Amino acid sequence: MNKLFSTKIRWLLLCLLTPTFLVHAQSLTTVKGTVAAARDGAPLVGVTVAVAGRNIGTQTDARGAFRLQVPDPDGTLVFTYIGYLSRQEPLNGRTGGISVSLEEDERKLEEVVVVGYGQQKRKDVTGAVTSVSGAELNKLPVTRADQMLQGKLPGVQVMNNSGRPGGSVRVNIRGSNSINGSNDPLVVIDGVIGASFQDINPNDIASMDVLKDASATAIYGSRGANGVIMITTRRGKAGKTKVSYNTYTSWQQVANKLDLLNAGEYLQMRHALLDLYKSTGDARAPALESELSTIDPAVNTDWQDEVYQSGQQMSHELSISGGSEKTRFMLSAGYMKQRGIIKRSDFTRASLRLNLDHEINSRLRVGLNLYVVKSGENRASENRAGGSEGGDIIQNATRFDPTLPVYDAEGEYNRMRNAGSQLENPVAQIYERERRYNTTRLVSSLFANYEVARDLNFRTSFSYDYEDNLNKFFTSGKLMEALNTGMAEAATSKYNHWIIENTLTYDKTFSDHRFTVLGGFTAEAEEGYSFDATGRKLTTEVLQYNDLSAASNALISSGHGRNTLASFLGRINYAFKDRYLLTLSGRADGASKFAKNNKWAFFPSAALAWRVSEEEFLRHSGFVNNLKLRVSYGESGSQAISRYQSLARITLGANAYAYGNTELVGASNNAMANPNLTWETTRQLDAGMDLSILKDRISASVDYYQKTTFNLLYSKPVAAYTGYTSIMSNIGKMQNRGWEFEINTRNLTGAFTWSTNLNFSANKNKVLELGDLEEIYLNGSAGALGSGFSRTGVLRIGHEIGEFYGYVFDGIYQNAKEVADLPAPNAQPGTVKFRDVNNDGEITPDDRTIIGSAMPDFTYGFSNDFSYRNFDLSIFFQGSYGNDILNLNLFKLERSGNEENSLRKVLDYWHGEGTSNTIQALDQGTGDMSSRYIEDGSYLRLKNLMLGYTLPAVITTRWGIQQVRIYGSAQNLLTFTKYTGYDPEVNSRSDDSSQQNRNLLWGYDLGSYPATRSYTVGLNVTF
Amino acid sequence: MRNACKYLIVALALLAATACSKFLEERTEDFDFLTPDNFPQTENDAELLLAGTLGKFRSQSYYDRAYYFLAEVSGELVNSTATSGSRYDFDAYTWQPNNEYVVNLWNASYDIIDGANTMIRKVPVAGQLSDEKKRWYVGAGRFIRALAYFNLVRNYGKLPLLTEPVTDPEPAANLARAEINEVYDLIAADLQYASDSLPAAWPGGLPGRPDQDAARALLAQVYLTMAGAPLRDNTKWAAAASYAKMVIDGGRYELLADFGDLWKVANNNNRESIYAIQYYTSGTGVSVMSVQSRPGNVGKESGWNYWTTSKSFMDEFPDTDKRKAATFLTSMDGKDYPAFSAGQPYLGKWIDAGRANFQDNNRRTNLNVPVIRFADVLLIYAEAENEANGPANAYTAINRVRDRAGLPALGGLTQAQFRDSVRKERTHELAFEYNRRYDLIRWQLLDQVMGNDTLSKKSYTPNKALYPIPENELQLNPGLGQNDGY
Repeated sequence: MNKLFSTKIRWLLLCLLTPTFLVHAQSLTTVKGTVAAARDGAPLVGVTVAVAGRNIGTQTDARGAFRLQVPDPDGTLVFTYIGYLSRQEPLNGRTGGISVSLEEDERKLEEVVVVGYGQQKRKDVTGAVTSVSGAELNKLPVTRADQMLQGKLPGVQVMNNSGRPGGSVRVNIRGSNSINGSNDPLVVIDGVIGASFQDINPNDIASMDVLKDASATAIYGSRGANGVIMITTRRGKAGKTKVSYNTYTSWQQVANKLDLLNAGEYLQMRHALLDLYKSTGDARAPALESELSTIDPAVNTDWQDEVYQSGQQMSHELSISGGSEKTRFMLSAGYMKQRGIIKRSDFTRASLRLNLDHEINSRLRVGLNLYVVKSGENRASENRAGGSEGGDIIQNATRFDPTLPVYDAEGEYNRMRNAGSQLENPVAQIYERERRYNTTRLVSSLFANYEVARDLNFRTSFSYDYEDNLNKFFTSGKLMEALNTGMAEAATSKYNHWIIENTLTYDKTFSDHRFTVLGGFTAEAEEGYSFDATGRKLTTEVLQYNDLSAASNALISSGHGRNTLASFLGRINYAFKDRYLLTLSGRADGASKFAKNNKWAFFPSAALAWRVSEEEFLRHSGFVNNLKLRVSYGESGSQAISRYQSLARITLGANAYAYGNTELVGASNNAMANPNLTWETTRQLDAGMDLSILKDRISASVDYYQKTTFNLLYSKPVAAYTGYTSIMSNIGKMQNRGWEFEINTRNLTGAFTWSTNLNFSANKNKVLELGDLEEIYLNGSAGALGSGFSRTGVLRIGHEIGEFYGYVFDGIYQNAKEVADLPAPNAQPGTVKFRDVNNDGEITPDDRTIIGSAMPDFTYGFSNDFSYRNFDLSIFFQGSYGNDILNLNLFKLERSGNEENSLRKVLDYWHGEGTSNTIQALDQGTGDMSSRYIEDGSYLRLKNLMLGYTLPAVITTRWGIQQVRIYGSAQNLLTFTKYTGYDPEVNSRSDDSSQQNRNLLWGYDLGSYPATRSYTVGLNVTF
Repeated sequence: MRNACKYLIVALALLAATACSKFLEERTEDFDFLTPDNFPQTENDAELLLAGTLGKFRSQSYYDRAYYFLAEVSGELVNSTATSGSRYDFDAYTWQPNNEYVVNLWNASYDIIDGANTMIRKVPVAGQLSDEKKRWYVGAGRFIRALAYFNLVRNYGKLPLLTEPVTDPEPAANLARAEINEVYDLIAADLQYASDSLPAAWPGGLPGRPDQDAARALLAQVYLTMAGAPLRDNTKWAAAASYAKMVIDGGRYELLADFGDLWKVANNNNRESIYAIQYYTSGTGVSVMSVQSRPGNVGKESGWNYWTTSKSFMDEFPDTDKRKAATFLTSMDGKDYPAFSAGQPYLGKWIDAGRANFQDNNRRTNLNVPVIRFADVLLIYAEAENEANGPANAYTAINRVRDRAGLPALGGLTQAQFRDSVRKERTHELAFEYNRRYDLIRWQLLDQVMGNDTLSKKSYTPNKALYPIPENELQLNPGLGQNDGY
């Protein structure tokens, strides 16, 4: 946007200058020359070349050449170009061969930052706003735009929930405010609220500005509390049409495999179990003996190898931009396809964007942004540790019997030897199930700017977005769930959203005072409709979900809802002597979601900044070139509930019951009313400092913030004897405090450049109040692991969210005396021993305690960029420190002697005093929720290593090509971690149907799609 | 243009201010749910509530799994195959207040009670129902509430006694528990109302709704339970006998000739079934009772191998007992029971005997679960009549049951001898039918039986005649108080 803004001004100037230039043309000399970038010698296109002190100018062409008629052969030419330092070049009588090179402008003060309902120069910003350019973002080949932010910006925590193609990403700005509502930041694309990262083509992004403090976010009122990410897409510039093509291909592999028992070791464990049964006269011995007698010792199946493959991703992106002074356009088309590392999983996205600007006259400008995206995914099932199929592909590949081949003698999928097992063959789960997700989305925005009077601008926009989802599922009769009959489902949903926004902006400067006043009104509505049809007992499987009339049993359901929001907003920016800056802003929001008495709320904020470097005592300092102190305080909100949640609801259920052989629809109470539901409000204090020294060679920012969210919405547990287990309530208070730090240095400039960015964020979350409760226990086991896991986490006053709760694992009972000294239910030598936390001499549920936290102490990113002549090298590390992971896969994988496979370490099982203090005896359980399953999730990873080469301009210009760059890169090449699962970036409960679970259950691993290591080669061409 | 713009802005602001309140309303025409403001109104509405409430009995939190652990696995006749964890706790008597089945049954029961209370409260004020129909649906609601409280009080003892639907959690937040006899008084009152107001048969002939005989039979069972421990109210023997007799004399029910026919899906809702949880679905079935009850290593007939019985219990049955074959699963897929996963006989009643292809329907079954069947009523009558008046008039009832089993008729017993006989008959006739624990408690035999059972004797204590109040309930309302010993 900064480029765009400046270009507009420049073109405006040029327009004004041109007629004058024509009038004064007389006795002129023609001078010629070229302009190139100092860094790599590449020709610069569109550089404004003007004669100093005269209204004469031109622009460089595609080869960087210019030709200008000057009145004075000894005059001076001024070269200006966006992003570069302008340069004055005396002609000294030269008329040709004038070769000028421009240095890149690293100074950020004149940069334009996109803020809510407007833009500001960086120097005028009073809030905590960080920005990253598209060029920086596009270094990393990613499928989703939010992945590009990982480790790039302080205070912005980005985490890949899953390695699956198109997998979701968690973005948290300054911690989690909300328990029940989304903690996702508000995403605003080109001014349109409520877009999604998932849909945007990363290549379309010109810049992202992240609004973090209340002064910046209050203008978004009830949606600003989680921070706001302003995405600006690229727009056309007047001049020669620019065509660019970017492509890459990458290859992916699973970053590591788990070390499991091979068939021989598995058999060894099973035989040990048989020996145990025989020696104790256990009635199960005959069954086990006959089972083991059928095993072919020659078979050794590595089920991980059977499900994983080498993945591949490719991307093509073509954009065409340009236009005239009155009409400018940017047209882009993108196509991306990723084949996942689990067989038959993939993700495809195709997108088309048109950004159009037109000036009807000098006062009225109109524009259109149109974006259409279509994505499709074949999704592998993940994150289930139990349930009807034992688990999902990822878990089952680690649990399935290694002595069984994939197929039996008849070519059918092998099942577990114990025919009653629910554990599904993971290869069958891959090939006998379809899970296709298709989304088509249209995002459109029509806007007009009208200059009502000098300094007074009216802007109106109408935005509409439409989303159509069609998800199709098919389970063949070879899987247990639909054995012999097959099952198919089609689920479709449609979503409409419109917003009307009207703002009026008044700018005024007189003497030392500079004002910008903004006021506006907006209204919007969202509506969704869903329809689902499930067919069972298919008479033919051939048609899958394409014709559900093949189903002899069908179930249909649908859903609908609508919600509206209306707002008034305003902001005043005031600058005195360019040194003292004040911002006041506020928004009043009314929402249909809330109870009658609480429909409206107002969110105000204020900020002050002092540009110390503009004071006399620093103004002429050669050392400090910018020093700004900022402080802000304000409120923003979160509509943490979904619509209708203040109302009592009775829901229908199909096939709820039967009278004889007649199936019935049933109705039951679903929720109690809460007529007092209201907004979550976050009060935030931010104090920060921006500093640049040594002509911007070193620039740094530091921020401290403290946020308190009150009226926390929570699905508050109520005693189940009421007939309900929870009621949506405003019950609590939560605090997030933290430090953010960022430093950018230009270590070397000139032919060899080296720059470094280091950013660091530490956030501390604290629960302050939970209504009348002291704590709330959480069950993150997804219900598949039994009572021992009915409480895996706790939300406790004075503590942070994401804490794990359970027993402290204290080894294995070694002998009868230890059991007698510390009795526990079912304890005997060889069983799991817990610590007697409350020192009452026995193990009871009261010995459970907090045993870990999924919240990192800090996260960080560290990048170094080098360039030398035509080469560029970028090394980017990113990491997280101090967070724990609950590896629930271990509940199954550390069993000893089980019919399902286990980790190799179970060979070290307890078989007599002193033999093991880590793995229990054969046939004993791994125990209830305990610190046994908690692992350190800290990591440091080489996220991206990229080497690029730009072909010399002398060669490419010969081909009529402005620039050609080729690059190779590697992602996740190195990861340093103690975590023993597939990958420390794991978040299995991220796709839970409950928002509350998604927010509170961090750091769970129930078998999520593993992260990948990938290698990429790419090409960028600009014509 | 400038003026036009000004007017536009002013107009928009005015429009905004006036239109806002309407714009922000939540409109019922957008809802995909019903609201209590105008529901229920019609007979169909009442039917929706009835089916929605009854349907909760058949969930895995209730009759389909959780309740079975509490009622049967905790007895000596059924053992789980687990060697640790929440299922094994019912063998070892090591359950804790967080045991998932202890929690599930509590939660599901009160969910049902809320549905029943809603019917009891709101059907009488529904606008489009006749007074007679109102009595029927209120009667059904009170039958449901009684069944839910009956199963609760036998497991948890003193209970928070909810008789109104909860619309605001605050007043209910600090509820204290009612005494056991108060709970039974409500149950008896509900069932008396139900037996007075429910129709003898619902029009249309569909089975599954509670009717007059269902209420009487259940009331007989409730009185029988009140007569035993812990209440030991001797006056209730006669009451139990009298309600059982009403059902017997009513003549609507009879014993099926072949005991094995009771356990076949084709015979759901047979002439012996007085009230049963309905499990029919046209889709993939809902009940996991069969797959839980089958051994794991019998090829395509395999199930999840949840529980077994024991050879010693099977050996109590003489081979002449015609019930033996249907009660015990001893052979399947060419294997005899010593080669089954657990090396023990399995529970023949629940395996969905005679199923053509067990793998169909995701191994789910449509087999109903009897809440009370005619043989039970005969045995209630026999037991209660003997306790109230001695055996003279009790023989006919017990001998009907024995006759079907192919056992000789009883006669000439003392009251004590008859008591032993009827208890044994009950144990054999109704084996594995969600009752063993409650019979042992009633007969004050729990200490003797479970205190000496191999699996449970180590952790058995007499207080374990009651399960603990779930830990979340106590955390939310400490005033409930925990049962002794937890």
